[in-house]
Amino acid sequence: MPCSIWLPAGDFVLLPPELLHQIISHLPLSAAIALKLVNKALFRAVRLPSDTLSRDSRYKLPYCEQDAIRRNINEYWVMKSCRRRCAVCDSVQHLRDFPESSAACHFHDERLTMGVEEHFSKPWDELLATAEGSMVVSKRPFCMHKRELVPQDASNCSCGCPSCAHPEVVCFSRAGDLAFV
Amino acid sequence: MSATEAEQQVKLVSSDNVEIITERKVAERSMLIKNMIEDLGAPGEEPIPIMNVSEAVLRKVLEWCSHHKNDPAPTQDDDADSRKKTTDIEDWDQKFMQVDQEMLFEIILAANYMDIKALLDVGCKTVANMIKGKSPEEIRKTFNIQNDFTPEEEEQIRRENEWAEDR
Repeated sequence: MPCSIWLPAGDFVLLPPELLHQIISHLPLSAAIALKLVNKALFRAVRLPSDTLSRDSRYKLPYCEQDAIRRNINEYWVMKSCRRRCAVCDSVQHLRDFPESSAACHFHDERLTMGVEEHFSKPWDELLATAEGSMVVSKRPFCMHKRELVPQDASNCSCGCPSCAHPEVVCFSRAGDLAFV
Repeated sequence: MSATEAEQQVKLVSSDNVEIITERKVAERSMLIKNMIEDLGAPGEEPIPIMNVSEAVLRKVLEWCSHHKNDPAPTQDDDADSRKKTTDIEDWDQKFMQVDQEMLFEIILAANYMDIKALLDVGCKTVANMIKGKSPEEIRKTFNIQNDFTPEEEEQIRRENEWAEDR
């Protein structure tokens, strides 16, 4: 029988526990840890499987999963020291070099977010056909783990890792010649 | 269910007292409604109250049900497989879920209340995808959650989880 509790929607932390657990069941360990560290209510609500916290099991995790866990746990210290690591170029920089909510530094974030929206509604093939020889703009998934674009003909990136983010980035390209900028 | 039964119309009443008429086959994607119809015995005659779902959300949920009305019932194996990849959401469902956060959570709560497992799964996967790859601070910003940890609590939590520091 479904949950009979009814709570005002629009607030993530007010979701009933069984729904929260269902969402968490779709998350890799690193994301579940990040969610646990959001606030007190989520710290209590998010339960991590005990076998994932042992010293042995952490080394069995893929490298980028370990990296994501470390990044999430260390965020507090990093914010305190006013420095953080850019998710794109991997360099440690002062917080003033990051836009407020971005994991990428100013230099890379501007290239991740700038856009020419009217082009995005057109299918990729149409873009290439109509703009032969000229630059076209499109949105593509960018693997934060491998720091490269997901190939056009692939449904997912080759890292095969569930932990890395795949934000959409703006690409400028010519027919047959794709470049991330 | 026979073809005639599937085409029958049922009357649903939202929490704000708006009557919505839809196909029985569409409405019966919801196990709650399916059970109510079976209990009532005469669909179409008596309106079915959907107590906790507003008109806007109910229409949205019925839009999803209408698109998926011919989907086969999921098996146990399907359930297990679909849980493996959070990014596996059909294109139509992805577009359907491109709504503001308030509506997204309303749809999830409605799917849970109306017992529509597939819609609930799509909603939960959508939220999971919004969380994936984000740090605690980025999650706070995404969902507008306030950090209520004291600095002492923050330090204690990090000390207890120091195992992640070395590798």
